[in-house]
Amino acid sequence: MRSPPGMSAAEFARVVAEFERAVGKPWVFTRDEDVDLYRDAFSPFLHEAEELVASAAVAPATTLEVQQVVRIANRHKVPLYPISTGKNLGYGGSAPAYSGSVVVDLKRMNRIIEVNEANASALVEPGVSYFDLYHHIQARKLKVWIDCPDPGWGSVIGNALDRGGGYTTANYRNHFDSHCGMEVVLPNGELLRTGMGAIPNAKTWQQYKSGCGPWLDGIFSQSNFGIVTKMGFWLMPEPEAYLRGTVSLSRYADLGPMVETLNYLENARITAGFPDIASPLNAYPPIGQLQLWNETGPPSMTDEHRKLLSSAKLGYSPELEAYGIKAGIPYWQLYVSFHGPAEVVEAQWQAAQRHFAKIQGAKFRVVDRVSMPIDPAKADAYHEPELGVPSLRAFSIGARTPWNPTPSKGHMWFSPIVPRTGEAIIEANRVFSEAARELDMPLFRSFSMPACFWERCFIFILATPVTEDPATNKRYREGFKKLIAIGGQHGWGEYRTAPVFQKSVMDVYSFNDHALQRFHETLKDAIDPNGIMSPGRYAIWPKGLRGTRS
Amino acid sequence: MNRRNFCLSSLATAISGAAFAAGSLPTGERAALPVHASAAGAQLYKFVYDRRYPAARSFGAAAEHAPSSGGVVAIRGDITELWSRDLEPKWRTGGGAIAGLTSARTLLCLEQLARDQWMRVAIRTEHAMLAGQKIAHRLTAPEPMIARMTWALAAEDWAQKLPAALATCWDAVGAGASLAIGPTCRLATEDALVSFVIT
Repeated sequence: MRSPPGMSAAEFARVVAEFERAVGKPWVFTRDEDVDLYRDAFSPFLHEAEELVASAAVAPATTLEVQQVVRIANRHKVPLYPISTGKNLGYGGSAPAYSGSVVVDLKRMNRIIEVNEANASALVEPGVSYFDLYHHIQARKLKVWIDCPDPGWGSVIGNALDRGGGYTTANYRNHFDSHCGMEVVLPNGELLRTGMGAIPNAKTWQQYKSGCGPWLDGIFSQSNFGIVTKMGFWLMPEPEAYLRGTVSLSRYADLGPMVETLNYLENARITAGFPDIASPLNAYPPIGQLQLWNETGPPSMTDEHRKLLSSAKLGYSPELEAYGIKAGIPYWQLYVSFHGPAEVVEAQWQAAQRHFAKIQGAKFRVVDRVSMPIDPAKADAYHEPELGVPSLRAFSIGARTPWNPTPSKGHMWFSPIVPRTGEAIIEANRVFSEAARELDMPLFRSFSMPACFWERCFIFILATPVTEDPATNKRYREGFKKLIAIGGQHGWGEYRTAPVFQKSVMDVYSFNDHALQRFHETLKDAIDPNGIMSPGRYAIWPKGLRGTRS
Repeated sequence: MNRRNFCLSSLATAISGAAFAAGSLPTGERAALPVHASAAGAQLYKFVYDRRYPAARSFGAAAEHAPSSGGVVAIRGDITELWSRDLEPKWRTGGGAIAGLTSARTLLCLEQLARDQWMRVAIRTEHAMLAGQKIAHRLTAPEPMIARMTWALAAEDWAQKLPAALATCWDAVGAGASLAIGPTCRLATEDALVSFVIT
């Protein structure tokens, strides 16, 4: 049996026995073949000794059992690492931030406590996946949508706590922002409810977010201050209609005005759906068609186009632009979408066109015009998550193909936040493509577009491959850290990252001599003096381990 | 007995016809299931293959004649419907070992979802296409299963022989060993596929 660092096998065996009494013997895992299920499938330490691994796992079924597990861990100073459904692939998966921790697997806590159609809200436990919630809603014919990432296999709570995003309308795409109230087991085993939930018999727990006094919820996201055992979410009422249209622009210089117009329309709530920016001339697809391109390949390209693309700099050359205009291939193509009553979405689309028409040569087309509810069997004609339907189609990307010649073993997401401007798109391309070339990292094809999961900013998300070769993975890990630092030099920070990079990312947030880090540590020392809760997560180490971590 | 043994026992129970209604478990109650007697008549639940690949289509055709309780299902890479409507409810109630021949990405997805029920890939064979349309296999399986699989993988019509071999290995347990086989034959495909048993 493995054991946590600094703990003898005999001592850990006694801890395991206590865990077994708390949750039941079948739900404590110490055999290698069971504990290995918690390895990160995309670990950048594949085949290396430094891979972050658990010593054991325990799967409680109730909040009371979680409290018992936490109290046991506190008595014996055993590090824990809670996971919801453990699907955070690309950001660390189910492996702990501190090797040797005991994973607290919350999958068995999968109750959907309530979906309130009138309030358009849900209250769920951490083991509830987006699929679970979606099927629950569908089975009861409730008129509410979920907002899910792609793939939709993860935990509703887990994704929100790592501040993931989705694809429907702006106020629901930000999964943490759309939550309302949580219940948390603190590191001392005590139970806390936030927001209006702090009132016994609260009537507005899923209606008013901040309660009174300091609003604590944020400290339980991307942190190690407690185990969230319940969380409320606001859900989108099912819209009557959905309209998606494209705005196509033919000149490189149109990028800035396009983004400015999008920002105005989004901030004014004229469009709230997921904006998806493509560059057909640069052969860069919209996210909504990425899977299709990976499955069937990009649209065919003439030899002339291919040659012009290969010699373009930062996605531009006058010849490439002229070719696009001649061939009718847009430089930029923005997908905007609208949700609501049919007459409202048509009016919003008309207003959007009026604003974009100020850019010379803008062309418009309606791509989808759908009345709701949609037949779930026909949802795969669309990018399902944009219609609140979870999917696993992201895994239908097949084996090696001419356009995917080197399928990797996995990937690590490099995901800095950059400003919502056309200028920032060009600058991020310049900075990171130069860095990728110098670091010999395969991050770019020719030109990359950012994603608009959240309002007001872009996320410039790039996949760094995980390979079969430890030497290559080591080089990519070091390169990844350099990319983080380069982003920081330009004022761009990551929004989320895997445990192996969490220190590098948090080092960028260094204002006033790392005041943020020091504040996190102050909280950690007060809330979790024994340092049992996810040591090292987002670089927050307990006092006893702080000096040894670099 | 740990959770994994509960799963195998319950598979035997379900297939041998013990009274069990999958829909009777309340939401949130993936409780420990009752342990019943032997695995007499136990077999794989389903074969899965990806119809985009010729070798997988051969596998699928042969699987129609191999023992399983739930038959054969073809996918085009997307397992959303198969998993959410079929495998997830089956796995949640403690049953449903499957075998298949798909892309590595599809297996990755199935493997991650199987972990939700503490199920695992018990046998994994990577079928790597080499230059000259030859193929090599890399098999990882418990030692007792290696011999059962080798005869199939060494054959020119390995894809057609695989279902019968995998059907005898659905209850694979034990530490894994690896074996490389090939190059053995010519194939009309350049895709890399993977065959597996999840149990």
